[in-house]
Amino acid sequence: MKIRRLLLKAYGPFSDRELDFGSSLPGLHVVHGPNEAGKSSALRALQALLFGFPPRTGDNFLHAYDQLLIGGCLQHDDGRELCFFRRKKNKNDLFDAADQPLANDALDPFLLGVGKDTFSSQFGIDHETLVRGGQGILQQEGEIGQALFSAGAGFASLRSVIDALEADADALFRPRATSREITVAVAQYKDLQSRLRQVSLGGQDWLKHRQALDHAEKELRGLESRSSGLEREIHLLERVRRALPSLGRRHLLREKIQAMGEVVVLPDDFGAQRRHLDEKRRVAKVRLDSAEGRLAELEDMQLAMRLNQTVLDHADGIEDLHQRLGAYRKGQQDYSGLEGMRVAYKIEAAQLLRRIRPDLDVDQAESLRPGLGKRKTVQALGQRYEAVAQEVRQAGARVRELERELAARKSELAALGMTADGSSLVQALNLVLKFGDLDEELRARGIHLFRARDNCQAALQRLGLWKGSLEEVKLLGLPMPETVNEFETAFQSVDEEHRRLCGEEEKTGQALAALRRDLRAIEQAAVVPTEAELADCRGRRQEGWMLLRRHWIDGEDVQLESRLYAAELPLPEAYEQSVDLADQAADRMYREADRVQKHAQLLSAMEAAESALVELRGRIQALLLSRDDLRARWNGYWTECGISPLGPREMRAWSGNFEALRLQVEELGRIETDLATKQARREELREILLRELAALTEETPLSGDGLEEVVRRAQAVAEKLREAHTRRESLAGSLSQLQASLDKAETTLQNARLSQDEWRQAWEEALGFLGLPGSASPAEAAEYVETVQECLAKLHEEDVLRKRIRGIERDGCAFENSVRELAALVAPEDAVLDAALAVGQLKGLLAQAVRDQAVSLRHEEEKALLTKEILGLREELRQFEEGMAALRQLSRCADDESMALAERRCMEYAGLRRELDEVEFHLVGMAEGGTLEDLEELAAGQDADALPGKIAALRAELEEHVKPQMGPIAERVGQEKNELARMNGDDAAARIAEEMQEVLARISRMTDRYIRLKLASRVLRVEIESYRAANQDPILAIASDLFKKLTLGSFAGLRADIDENDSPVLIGVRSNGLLVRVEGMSSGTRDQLYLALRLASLQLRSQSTEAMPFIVDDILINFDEERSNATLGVFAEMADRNQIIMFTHQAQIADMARSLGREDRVFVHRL
Amino acid sequence: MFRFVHAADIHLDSPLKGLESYPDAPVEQIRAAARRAFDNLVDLAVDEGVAFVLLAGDLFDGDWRDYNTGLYFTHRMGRLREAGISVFLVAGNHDAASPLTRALSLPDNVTLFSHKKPETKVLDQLGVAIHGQGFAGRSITEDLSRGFAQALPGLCNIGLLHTSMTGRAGHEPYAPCTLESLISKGYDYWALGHVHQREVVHKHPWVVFPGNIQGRHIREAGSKGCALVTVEDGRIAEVDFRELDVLRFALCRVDMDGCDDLDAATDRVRKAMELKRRDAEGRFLALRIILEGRSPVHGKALRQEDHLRENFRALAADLGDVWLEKLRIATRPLSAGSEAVDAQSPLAGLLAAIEEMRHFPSLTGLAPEFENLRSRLPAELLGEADPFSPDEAELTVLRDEVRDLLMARLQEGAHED
Repeated sequence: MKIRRLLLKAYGPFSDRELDFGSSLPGLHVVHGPNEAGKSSALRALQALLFGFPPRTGDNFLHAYDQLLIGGCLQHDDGRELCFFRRKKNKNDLFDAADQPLANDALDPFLLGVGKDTFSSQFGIDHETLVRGGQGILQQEGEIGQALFSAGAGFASLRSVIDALEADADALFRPRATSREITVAVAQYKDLQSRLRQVSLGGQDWLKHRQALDHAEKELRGLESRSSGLEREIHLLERVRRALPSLGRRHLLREKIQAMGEVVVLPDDFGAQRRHLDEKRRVAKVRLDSAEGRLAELEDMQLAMRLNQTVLDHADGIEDLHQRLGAYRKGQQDYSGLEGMRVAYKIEAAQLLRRIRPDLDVDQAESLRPGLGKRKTVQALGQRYEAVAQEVRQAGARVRELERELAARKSELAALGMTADGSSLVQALNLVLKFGDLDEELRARGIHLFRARDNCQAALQRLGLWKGSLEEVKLLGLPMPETVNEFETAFQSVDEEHRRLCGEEEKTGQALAALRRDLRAIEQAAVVPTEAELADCRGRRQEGWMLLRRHWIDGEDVQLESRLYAAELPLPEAYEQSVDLADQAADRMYREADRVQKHAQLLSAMEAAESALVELRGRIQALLLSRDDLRARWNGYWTECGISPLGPREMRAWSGNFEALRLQVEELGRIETDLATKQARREELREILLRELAALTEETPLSGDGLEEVVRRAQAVAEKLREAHTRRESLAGSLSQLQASLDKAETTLQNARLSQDEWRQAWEEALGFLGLPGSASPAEAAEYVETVQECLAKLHEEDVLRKRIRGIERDGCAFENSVRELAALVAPEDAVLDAALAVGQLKGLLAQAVRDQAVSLRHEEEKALLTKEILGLREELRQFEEGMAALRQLSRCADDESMALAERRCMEYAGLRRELDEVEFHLVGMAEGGTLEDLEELAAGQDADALPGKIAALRAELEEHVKPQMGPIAERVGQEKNELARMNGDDAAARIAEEMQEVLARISRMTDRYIRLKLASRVLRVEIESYRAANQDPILAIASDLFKKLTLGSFAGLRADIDENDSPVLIGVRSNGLLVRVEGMSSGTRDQLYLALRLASLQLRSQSTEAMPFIVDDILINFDEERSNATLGVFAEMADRNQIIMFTHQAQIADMARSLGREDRVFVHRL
Repeated sequence: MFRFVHAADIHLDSPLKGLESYPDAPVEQIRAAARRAFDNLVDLAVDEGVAFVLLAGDLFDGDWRDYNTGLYFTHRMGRLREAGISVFLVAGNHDAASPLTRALSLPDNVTLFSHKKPETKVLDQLGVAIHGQGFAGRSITEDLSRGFAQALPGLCNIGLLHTSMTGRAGHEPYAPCTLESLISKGYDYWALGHVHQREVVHKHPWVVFPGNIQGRHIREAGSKGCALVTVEDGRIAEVDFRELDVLRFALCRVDMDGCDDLDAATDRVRKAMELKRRDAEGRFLALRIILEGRSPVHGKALRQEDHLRENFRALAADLGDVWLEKLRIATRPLSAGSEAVDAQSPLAGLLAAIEEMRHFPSLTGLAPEFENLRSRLPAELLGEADPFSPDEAELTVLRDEVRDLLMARLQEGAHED
C-alpha cells in the first residue's frame, strides 16, 4: 500500500494544504517543516486519516470539531486506488470524493487488517522510540530473540514487560517464600480452620451433658424430699412446745368470767354518751337565763325613747325647700344688675330715634316698623342704580365711536379713486411664461452649437487622408464595407502565404546548411571511398590482371602496356598493389558502409533541399507580383473619392470614423434649425407683451431684444393693479359692517335710557313707604333703614330684661310663702322671719328625727331574735331530759347516780372477755389450720419435759446427714446447666466459616491473577524464542548489511553468538574481525543497530507481502552529518519497494536528501 | 381457609462464598445471613398465622458439624411451637450426610418423615394429608415418589419430596421422577426441594420448587424466599412467593461504550450500582461488576485493574449496603481494527499461540510454580472450580484474559491512549 496524497482540508493549523506523495517508485518523501509549521499536526493527520480521529484532539484550535476534514488517496500494490475523506465523527466518518458516506471497512483492503496501534509501532518510528530501542537492546543484553521480536513488532524493549509480569506474579507467590500474598492468605485460612474446629460443638457432647444433668437433678430431688420431711416434724414439735402456756391461761380466764354472773352489757360509748348529755343540759340552762334578762332590758329602753313624727312626715318637703334655697339666693343677687341693663337699653334706643326722627318719642318708635317691610325692595333698587346708569353711559360712548370710524373709512374710499383693468396683461404674461426661460435656453443652445461645430471641425482635421469642408462631409461617397473586407481577406491570404513560404525557405535553408555541416563533418573525418572510386580500383585491378594473364597464360608481351599501367613498378608488383588498393577500398567501403550510406543520404538530401529551395523562391516571386496587382486595384477604388488609401484594415477603421463624423455633422444641422425657431418665438412673445404694456402705462419703451426685462416689467404692472383692486374691495366690505354696528349701538342706547326711567319711578315709590323724600340717594335710604332696625333691636332687648326681672320677683315670693307654711306646720313655736334661716332650722330637726328612728328600729330587731332563741333553748332542754331518761332505762337504773356503777361492772367483764379472745387467737395461729381442740388433743399426748430432746435429735439428723449431701449435687446440676447453656446454638462457628470463605475468595482471585501473569510471561518468552528461530538468519543477513552502511563501515556486520549463559546474543563485527558486544557499543551505535533491525524486519516483510508505508519522525536529530547522509542513503535504497515518509524539522536533512542525486525516488516536500 | 409455608434448601449456617473482604466492606452487617433468612421464615410463619410449615430437605449443609446449628434450629422450632405451628420435614441429600441430623432431638411440633418408607400424616382438623419420605443416604438414585400412597379422598393431599425431577442444571440428579408420575398420585400440591432456583413446574396440581431462602454465591443470584400457600375448601387457592433473603447476589453488566476515561467509567458503574441497589429493596447486595463493550478505556482499564477495583469498592462502601463481589473487565478495544495486527508481525504469532493454547494445553505441570502453588492451596479451592483445570468455558475466558493482559502490557508506554 502507498499513500498517494494527504489532503489537509481543515486540520490543526492547515486549511486546504496538500501533500502529494504520488511518484512512480514508492519513494522516500522527506516532509520538511520548520518548528511551528505543523509537522506534528501533519503526522497526526496522517494517522487520523488511516484510523480515524481520536475522541479528543488538540487540533481543533483553528477549525471546530465538526469542521475537521482530512483526505487522501491510497494505492494498493495491485493498482487499486481509493480517494476519500474523513471527518471528526463517532461513526460513519468516511466519505468519498463526492461526499457520499463510505463503508467503515472501506480501508481494510489497503491496511491489510493492520490496526492503529500496530501501524504506529510497526510502521512508524520516532526519535524517542529509536533511543528507547537502543536502550532496550542494552537492557536485553543483546538477547537476539527479544531484539528481533521487539524490532519486528516495533516495540522499544520487551525486557521491562517480561520483568513486570514476573515481578507481579512474584509478589503473589513464590515457592519457598513466606511473605507472598497468597502464602500469607493460605496461612490465615489454616489458622481459621483450626479455630473452627475449636469452636465447633459435636452432637454427642451435647447429649452427654444433657444426660448428666438429668441424673443429677433426680438425685437432688430425692434429698430435697427427705429434708423437707424432717423439717416438718421438727416444726410440729416446736409448735406444741410453744402452745402449752397459752392453753393454761385460757383455762383460767374462762373460770373468772363464769364467776361474774349476769352483767348488763352496755354499749362501748355508754359512759361518753351519758357525760355528754349531762354537760349539754347544763349549758342550755345557762344560755336561757341570759337571753331572758336581755329581753327585759330592751323593753325598758323602748319605753324611754320619744320620736318626732311630724318632722319625719314632712321630710320630703323640707328636703325640697333645702334644694330650692340655692336658686332663691341667686335670684336675689341678680335682680339689681338686670334692672340697670334694662334702663341703659332704653336710653340707647331713644338716642337712635332722635337721630332720624326727632319728631317721635321713643315709645312711638314701634310705628316705624311697618316701613321696614319695603326694606328689601329699597335694597334691591339701590343695588341696581349703578348698573342702569353704567349701561346708558356705555351705549352712548359706543355710538360716538362708530360714527367717527365710519366717517374715516368713507373719506379713505373717496381718496382711492378708480383703477384700470389688467386681465389682458395677465393673460399675455401666462402665455409667455408657459414657454419658460427662453433667453437662457437660447444662450445655452448657442454655446452648444458652437461647441458641436468646433468638435466636428477638430474630428475632420484628425481624420486626415481627405481635404474638404464640413458641408462636403455629408455628400462624400466611400467604398462599401464589404468591399473593404474582401480586400482585407485577400491581402491577408497573400501575406500569410508569403510568410509561410518565407518560413519554409528559411527552414529549408537552415536544413540545407545543417546537411552541409554534416557532410563536411563526414568528409572531414576521413575520405570515404565512393562507389566510383571502388569501381576505378577494381577496373585498374582488372586491367592489371588482364595484362598479367596475357603475359602469364598467353605469353604475350605486355611490357609497353605494363609501363603505361605502372611506370615505376613491374607489372606483378603493380598488380599486387592494385589488388591491395581494390581490397582496401572494398574493405573501407564495407567497414565504413554506415558512413558511406550517411554520406550518400546527406548528398541526396542536399540535392532535394536545394531543388525545394529554388521552387520556393519561384513561388515567393509570383506571390509578390499578385500582391502588387491587388494593391493597384485597391487604390483604384479610393482615388474616386480623392483619397490615397492605407491598408484595408486601417481604411475600415477610417471609414468607421468618417461615418461617425458624418453623424456628428448631421446633428449640428439639427441644432442650428432648432435655435432659429426658438429665436423667432421669442420675438413674437416680446411683441405681445410690449403691446399690452403700452395700453396700460406710459413708461418709456424697452430697448434690446431680451424677453426677460419685458416680462419683469409686465409682472410689476400686473401686481400693482391687483393690489389696488384688493384694497378697494376690502374698504367697501368694512364700510357696510361699520354701518350695521352703528345701527345696533343706537338701539342699545335707547333701551338703556328707558330702563333708567323705569328704575327712578320704582325708587320714588319705595322711598315713599319709608317716609323719605324721593330725592334721597340709595346710600341715604340704606342708612335710614339700618338706624331704624338698630333702634327697634335695643327696645326689644329692654323688653326681654323687664320680663326676666318680673320672673325673679315672682319666684322669690313663692319660696318665702312655702317656707312660712311648712315652718308653721312643723315648728310653730320657733317662728323665724328670714326664710333662709328657717330652712336651716327645719333641716336640723329632720336630721335628729331620722337618727332617733334608726336606733328604735335596731332595738326591735334584737328583741325578735331574743324571743326566737329563748323558744329554741327551751326545746333543747326538753330533749336532753328525754335522752337521760332513755339511758337510765338502758342501764336499768332508777337514777342518774346508779348509772355510773353499772358502767364500771360492765367494763370489768369486757376486759376478761378480751383477754380470753387474745389467748385463743394466739392458739389458733399455732394450730396452723387445725382447731383448738386438735391442738389441745396434740398437747395432751405430749410430755412437756421430753419435747426439747426430741426436737434436738431430729434437727441433728437434718443438718448433719441430709443437707451436706445436697450441696455437691446442686453444684453438679449448675455445672451441667452452664455447660448446656454454653451450647446455646450461637453462630460463632458459622462466622468463622464465613471468614474462611472470604479468605478463600481472596486466594482464588490472587491465584487466578497469578496463573494469568505466569501464562502471559511464559507464552511471551516461548513465542520470542520461536520467532527468533524462524527469523534470525534472514533478518540478521539483511541487518548486518544495513548496520555496516549505517555505521559508515565502522562495523563490517552483525552475527549471532552464544554468551556465558548459553543465550544467543547479537555481536557487532569490526572490519578487522574484532567482536564487539552491545554493551561495548556507543549509545548512538546501538540506536543504529536498533534501526538496522527495524529496517531489516521491514525489508524481509516486504519480500513476502505487500509493503506498507514507513513513517519516520525526526529520527536523525542526534546523528552526525555523515551518518545522517548514510541513513538517508539506506532509506533511498529501500524506497524502490517501501514507501518511506520522513518528517523532519531540519533544513539540512531536506538539503541532504536533495543532494543525494536520486531524483527518481527522493522527493522533498515543504510544509 | 388456612395457609402453610413451603420452603426448602435452607442450608443452615452455610457460609456465603466468593465474597472477599476488604476495608469498608459491610462484613458485620451480613454475617450469619442464612440464619437471618431462616429467622425471616419463622417470622413470616408466625405473622401470617400459618397452620404448618413444610421443609423439603437440605435443612443443614452436608459436612457442617457444629451442633450449635442444630440447637439454633430447635430453638426456632420452639418459637413455632409456642405459636401453635407444626413443622413437617424430610431429609435431603445434605441432611442425610450431616452428622447434625442424627444427633438432633426435635420438639413435639416437628415431624420428620421416615427415610425408610413413605409415610402419610393426616391432620384431621384441617382436612390435610401430608405424604413424604426422606433421604436415607447422600445419594439416592431411585424414584422415591413411586412408593407414595395415592391421594386420600376428601382431603387436601400434599407431597413432600426432595428431588431433582428429570434433572436440573447445576444440581445432582437425586431421587429422579417425572412430572407425570407426580401428577398421577392425585395430590393437590407437591412441595419439592433440592433445586435452588425457584420454579413452578406445574399448576393444578401444583408442583413447586421454592428455591433456597438465601443465595450463597454469585451463581445463586436474584431474589430468594419461600412459597406461601393458601388452601380454601380443601383446595389450593393461591401460591404466593415471599422474599426472605438478607443479602442478594447480582450480576451488574456495565457497557463502557463511549467512556473516554476511567472517571467516566467509574461514574457509569456508580449509576449501574445504584439501579441494582434500588431493585434490592433495602437488602444487602453482593455485586459482580462486568465491564463490557467496545471502549476507549479498554487498555487503560486492564492496566489499572487494581486501581479500578479499589474505586468500585469505594463506591460500594459509599452506598453502604453493597459488597463488590468481583470485578471482571471484559471490554474490547474501540474498534475491531485497532486490535488487529499485521499478519507478518511477531505479535500475530503471539496471538495465534494464545488462541491455540499451544503452549498450555493443561495448566498443571506446565510450570513447576503451578504445581507448587496448587499443592499449597486449601482443598476447598481445588474442587469443581479448580483454577488449574479450567473447563471449556473457563479456558476461553482465561485465554482472552491472558491475551488482553499481554497486549495491554506490551503496548503500555508505546501507546498511551
